[in-house]
Amino acid sequence: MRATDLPDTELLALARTQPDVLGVIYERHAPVVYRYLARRVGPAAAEDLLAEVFVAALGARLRVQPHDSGSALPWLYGIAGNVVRSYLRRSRGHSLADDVPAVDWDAVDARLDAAALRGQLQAALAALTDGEREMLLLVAWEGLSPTEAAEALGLTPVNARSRLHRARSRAQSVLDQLTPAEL
Amino acid sequence: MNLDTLLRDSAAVPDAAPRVLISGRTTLDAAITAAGAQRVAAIRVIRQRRRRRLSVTALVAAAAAFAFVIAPTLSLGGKAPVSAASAAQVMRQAAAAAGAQPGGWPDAAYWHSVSTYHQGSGSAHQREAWIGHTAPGVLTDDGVDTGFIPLDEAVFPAGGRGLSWDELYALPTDSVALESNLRAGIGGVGNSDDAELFVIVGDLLRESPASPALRQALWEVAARIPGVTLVGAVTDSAGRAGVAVERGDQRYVLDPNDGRLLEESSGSSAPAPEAPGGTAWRATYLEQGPANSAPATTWVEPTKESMASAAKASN
Repeated sequence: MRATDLPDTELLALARTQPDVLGVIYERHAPVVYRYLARRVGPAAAEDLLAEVFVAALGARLRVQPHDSGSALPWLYGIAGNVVRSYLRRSRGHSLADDVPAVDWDAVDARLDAAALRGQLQAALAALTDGEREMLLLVAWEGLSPTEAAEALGLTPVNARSRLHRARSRAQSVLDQLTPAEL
Repeated sequence: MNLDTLLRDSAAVPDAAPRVLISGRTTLDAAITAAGAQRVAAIRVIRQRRRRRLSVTALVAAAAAFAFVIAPTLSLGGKAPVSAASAAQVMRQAAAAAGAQPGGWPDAAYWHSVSTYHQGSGSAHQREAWIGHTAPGVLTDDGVDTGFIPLDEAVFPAGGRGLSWDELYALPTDSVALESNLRAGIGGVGNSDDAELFVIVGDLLRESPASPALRQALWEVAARIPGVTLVGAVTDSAGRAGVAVERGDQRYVLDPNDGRLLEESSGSSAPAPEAPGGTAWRATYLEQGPANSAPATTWVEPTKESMASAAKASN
């Protein structure tokens, strides 16, 4: 029984001076981080980006503050979001200054069975700000609590809840306005 | 359409295949190994990042500024003052003086060094390292972390490669052979091969058990690098008298009487996008020498017993 049995908070504290502890964090969270990536950029790109997230985490470990939830995941999601944005900028030839939603819509549409549904989620989420969209997806796709999503996005829990509420009602109202033909 | 249904339907993705997880872990492990090696040379890493941020314009501007430096009158090694001594002359004298020092530590257990450094507009940091020959070392550096920081075995950076203690001792001590060996290892690192070679000389002199013969050869190599200019007699931040030479933004303060590297600095105090306090960096080397042992680190690998007692204590 060794470092593999320590909780995330202790691992993150150790990782500051023991970079190999990131290996334990990888074993624990890589499958979930992979799914986060696959939801946003598709399985093929997720394969390439998985290591990139953890290598970035290695570089960021001196700045990490353990979260109340005791999980390293909110922190990893925050890093993964940056990796996805940077990947999408690269692949679309955008510059750093361009605002790029951290989702590849083609990858999302590929998962929806009915052709009629394709484009609907994009239409609904396009009405949101980047922060609102990320908040909604962390909760709906990744199953984070609003408090954990707040950690990933650097918000207070109160701000996170109101942002989530705003995001949900705005997205639903866009869906409601789509004509029956579009449904 | 209901938002929750749409979100739920779009959330389903396949799990990562085992080969994907293994491949990611392999990449991460390589980065972890590199991070361990970089920690050994934390100073080097800090400086290298800054160096790469410098634009060509900044270097040209710096070089132009040096053109106005007037060659000073120096007192070298207790001899009569030498007028307009060139940087090469100063470094050749340092080489001879370094080679005349006693010592050579091919079998020492640790290399102990004490220094202070200063970055940007921040405060000065204290740094003390015990670099292990074949065992893990220990670092205290209040700019990195509090307490004892475990280090991997010694890795001395030299351009694009890292040298072990024994590899350091296997370097040629003939300066011509040394120069071609070092140039071959640069591997495209740095602004130019000449700039990087000048940096490597510092890398192998600071926090390093390099023998007197290697130190002599290193200063002889430095004396042949084009573009090194003499700044003149200076007092370092520890109040010691020395002579400064520089190339581009990299400056060394050396003691020509014994060949010691006293201090080095680089960068600019001008605010940069990634360094609002400027990129200036200065390190002052106060002492270094062999050691038989290093302090025990506070971090102990958790065992079944310690985990059990910790669990009991928290219940």
